[in-house]
Amino acid sequence: MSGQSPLHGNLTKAALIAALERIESTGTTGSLRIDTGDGGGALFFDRGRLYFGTIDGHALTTQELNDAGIDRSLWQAGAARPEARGNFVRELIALGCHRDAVARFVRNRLVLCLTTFAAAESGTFGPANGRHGFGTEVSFAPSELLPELLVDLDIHADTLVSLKRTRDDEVTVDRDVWNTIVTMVTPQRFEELTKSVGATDTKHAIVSLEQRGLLTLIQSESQPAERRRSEHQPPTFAPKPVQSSPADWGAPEPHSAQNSTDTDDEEYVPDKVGRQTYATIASLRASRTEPPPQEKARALRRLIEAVRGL
Amino acid sequence: MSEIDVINFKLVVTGPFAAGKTTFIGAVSEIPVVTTETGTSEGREVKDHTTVSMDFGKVSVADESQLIELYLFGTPGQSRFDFMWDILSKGMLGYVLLVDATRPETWTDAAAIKAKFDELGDVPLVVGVNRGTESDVDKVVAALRLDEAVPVLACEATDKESVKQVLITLLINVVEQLEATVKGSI
Repeated sequence: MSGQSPLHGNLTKAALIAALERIESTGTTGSLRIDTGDGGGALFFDRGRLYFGTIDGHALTTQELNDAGIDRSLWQAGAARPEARGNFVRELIALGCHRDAVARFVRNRLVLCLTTFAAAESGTFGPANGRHGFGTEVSFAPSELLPELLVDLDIHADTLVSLKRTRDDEVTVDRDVWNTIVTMVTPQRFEELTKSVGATDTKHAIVSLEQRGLLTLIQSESQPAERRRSEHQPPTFAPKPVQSSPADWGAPEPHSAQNSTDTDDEEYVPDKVGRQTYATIASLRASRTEPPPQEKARALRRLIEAVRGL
Repeated sequence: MSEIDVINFKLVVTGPFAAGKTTFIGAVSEIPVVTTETGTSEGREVKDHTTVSMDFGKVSVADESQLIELYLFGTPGQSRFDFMWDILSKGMLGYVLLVDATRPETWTDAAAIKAKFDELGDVPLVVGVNRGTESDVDKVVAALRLDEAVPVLACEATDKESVKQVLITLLINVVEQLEATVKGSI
């Protein structure tokens, strides 16, 4: 992609999801800075997994620690130890804090960050070289947290379901004529859809589903997604210890000359299939029109009968 | 080949912490409920996991020309996630307020949630009194100071037939409100 990395973008939910998927699939280490105009924050990744997030102006609270079952004194003791540098989580666990409690805390915090960023009306995001002193011992794959991003109720149910397990959900069909077609549906869902149109073979099913607007097809320009991914090693930067103290936790580490050649400057090969798919889904969603009230009432009556028959 | 119409409807299932919302949605959803649960420390004696963002379930009906889908969204019950309510209520046609009959200490929370949802939209509401009997229904009506026009049903979130009855009641109210709107605009 010329000029911009796919990890840069305007803050639409689809673009942010695509960036997170990209980071996960490429195992990227680094951070993503999000600016929403009146605020923002950062997400921190270690080999493609999210390990911490910050929201500008939103300091860690005692309530967050209590919610996760973390003792405040342990927390403060961990922060105060100089040997905690760069791995506060490990130190916290060593001090006696249960790993599950730390995991709960991290997950809650990531959910809060993701939902906050996803709900933003506008803004931008882009890669940065920040590393957080919280430590990477507890982390989550972005795909585990994707449902939290899909809070916009305009999202189509099929998309919602399919995005939950992204990797498993890519149905790749190799055909002489069509090259590679990637559809963002689960294999199970694809089978359901196939039955719904009475298709007896894959090609017939795909054509029917596309014509009915139930499936979005993207023709790959080159090779299947897996092969494209493996050709490009994810850019990383060497972790370096950072002083871990609560005061630092609101902001990522400043850009340094030592790692300035990493995520920012690396030329990514764009995952065109994924990005185009999301763009198409967004476009389809935007073009959907509200049925007139009479039609809605008729449809609801049919739905009532369907619920009765469950 | 003719185009197929796809119509989506959204209902929200809300209520206090551990009222049975996720179970309620799961009882009728045709897909495994997409849930965003995590371990909990608050109320651990009540349950080990809680919804932090939303639950999602679906019921659909289709024929040659039309696919109608009912999306069921469950809200997180804990108040610290109440920022999700605004988001989840956007575009809803109606909502189910689920109340646990066996935990009257949560009814104050239920009343607060109802007040908030009343602000979010003028849509039909059905109150489901989970694990409740008819006598519990009367207690809930009194505790929540419900208008007599609000349907209140004893239900069991684990029982599909019971959940269906709550949903049908809500959907009928939604249709009636929609048809009244149409008549009013003619």
